[in-house]
Amino acid sequence: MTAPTTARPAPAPSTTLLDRAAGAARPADLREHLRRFGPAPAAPPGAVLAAARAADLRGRGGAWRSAAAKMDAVAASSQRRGRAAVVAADAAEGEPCSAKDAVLLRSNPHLVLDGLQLAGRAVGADRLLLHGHPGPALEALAAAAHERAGADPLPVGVVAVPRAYVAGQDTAVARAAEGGPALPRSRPRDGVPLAGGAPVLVQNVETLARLALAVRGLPQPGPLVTVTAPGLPPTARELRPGATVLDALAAVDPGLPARAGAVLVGGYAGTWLPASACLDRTLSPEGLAPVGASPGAGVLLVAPRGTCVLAATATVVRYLADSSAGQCGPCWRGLPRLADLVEELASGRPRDGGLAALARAVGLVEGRGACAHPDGTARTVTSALRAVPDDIAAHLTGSCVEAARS
Amino acid sequence: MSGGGPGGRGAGGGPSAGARLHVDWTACEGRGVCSELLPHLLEVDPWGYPVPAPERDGAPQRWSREAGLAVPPEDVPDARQAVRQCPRLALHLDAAAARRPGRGTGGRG
Amino acid sequence: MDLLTTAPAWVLARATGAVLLVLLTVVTALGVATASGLRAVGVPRFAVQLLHRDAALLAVVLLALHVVLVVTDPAVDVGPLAAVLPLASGYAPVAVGLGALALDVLLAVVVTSLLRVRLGLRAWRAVHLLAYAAWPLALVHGLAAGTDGTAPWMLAVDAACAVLLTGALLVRLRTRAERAVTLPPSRTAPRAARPVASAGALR
Repeated sequence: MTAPTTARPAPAPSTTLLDRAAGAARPADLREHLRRFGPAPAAPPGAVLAAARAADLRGRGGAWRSAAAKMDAVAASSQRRGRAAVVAADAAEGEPCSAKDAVLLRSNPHLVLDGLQLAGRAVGADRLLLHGHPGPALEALAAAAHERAGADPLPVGVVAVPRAYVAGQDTAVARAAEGGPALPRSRPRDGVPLAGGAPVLVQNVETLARLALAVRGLPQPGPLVTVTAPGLPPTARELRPGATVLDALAAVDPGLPARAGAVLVGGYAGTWLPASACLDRTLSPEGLAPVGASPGAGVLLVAPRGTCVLAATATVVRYLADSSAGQCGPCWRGLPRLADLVEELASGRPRDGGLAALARAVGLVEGRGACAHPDGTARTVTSALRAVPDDIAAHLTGSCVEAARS
Repeated sequence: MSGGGPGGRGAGGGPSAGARLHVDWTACEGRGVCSELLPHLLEVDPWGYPVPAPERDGAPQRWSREAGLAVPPEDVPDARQAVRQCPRLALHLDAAAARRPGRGTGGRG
Repeated sequence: MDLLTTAPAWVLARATGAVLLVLLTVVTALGVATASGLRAVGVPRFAVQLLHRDAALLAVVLLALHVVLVVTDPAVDVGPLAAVLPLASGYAPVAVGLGALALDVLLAVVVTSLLRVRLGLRAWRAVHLLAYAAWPLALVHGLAAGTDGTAPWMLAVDAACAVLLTGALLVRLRTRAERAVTLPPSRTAPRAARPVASAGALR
């Protein structure tokens, strides 16, 4: 099946979430926010949950878990432990090629903060946190919070942690909230992370912005994506609802879909797919699940024809290995070994045992660790092998299909 | 502090019920006591960390993060001992039902 | 040797004391073997661990006998309280007190070990490290309070135990050094990931 190489006629770009591009002078201030959206409704907890459920709001940090289900779980944990919950807005954006949160925070920090207050009410929290890395994104969010500090019911604090891939994982956010390192740890039995004994609801900033829209009864905008390719720095775009992978690529560079050979869908711990298999898929869990992928944090890494997918994978896997929290032996040991094997294969000099050794190395990391970091790495490797089988065969004998082509 | 760690909860159900073994990977140091006590259930990877032994038909088994590893009823007493003797208290045993419903894969949503 | 003229109970008390020092040394050596993950042919690691535990429990039993024999002896003024409270003894208060301290330590170690799973690793380990203190306390107690404290045969036993204990400590230190290199780094040094700024965070 040949992939469509021309995008559908692009409708006028939606301007709900990312309406101010990177060149904007300064983010929307509170007055402008109120003029556009009005004040956040004083919805009771049940109404907030109902709105989240009605909008089928799901986490945009990568896991796509139902926001309403998460809020329910946190509220239940809060009841069981007799402790007020905490809500943390996750602005860490640890995914290396993701830019959507940074742009969102510069454009619409107040929507995020509305959502944060609403989520706090929904779970009966007594404090809210902004979690991120020192930098313009967190500063914009903190400045906006400062602007409205008098008017908001729940107090908002800031927790800034050193930049790290795993720092945005929910148990890591909870751990940083209690003064510990921003590293994942084992999850309590009910799945809800704790900070100093208090249940923590961790939501990506985009999810919170969407919650603020849902409670106001406003329609949900389309997906926020970040597209990157060799020579194309990560570029965030807001797409229309129901947009496809092709729409995402075309929104950044109209000629990109035609040049695409393979796409790493979901970012660094995502799934490689041949362009032909994914260009016409909708950017949603339902749209991508049939081809074995998930939108993740909305990152699309494009390998144009002529780019070696294995070489790109080797870079990705090495980064992920270096990003291990270094707490769990199988991850800390297994990922560097996996990276070694992928690098060897990518350079056309696989050691004896070739793919079998690689498969064993994948099996030694999959599922073996307190968090899903090694699982994502395994997924990237396995999908690379499946996406470009001809090139794999070539690499096993020391040559590269893409290099020959370019 | 949250933790999957010390619990001392024995497997529920009668002597004929199986159980599920969970490991806290942040505590495990690959000391290998568990694989000695449960040789049919656990082997050791190149770095000393426990790995489920392959199924009877040779198929590889996975140690599920949410549901743990199935322990057949006849191995439950040894599994209990492994929990008690783990030098890092990294193991614990649950009744045979799955640990918690509907967990996502890593909670960055 | 005054064995023939001394009451049998007192002789037994001294004997149990001497055996206890040897046993304590063996228990410590087995503890080091456990912590260092050592094993021998036919003796897997869990067996070494169980040996350590059983030897320790044997030591507790022997210690109870030693205490009962001393406390019930009419010839020395050592009341039951003196077994656990230092300086509560009428006879050689400091020397007996050191023994009481050793007993307290051992008691704490044994109780916390029996409740290890419930206590959690950190609390258990903090108390268990105190076990290293029990040996020197017992040694000095024997030298000072025991009738045979300075007898040549007893000193020979002391010296042999000291050699064994030093060896065990060296093995322990070496294993710790080796393991520090093979352990995942974030367990020993998570500082790098701590919050650089936090306002309103929880403690």
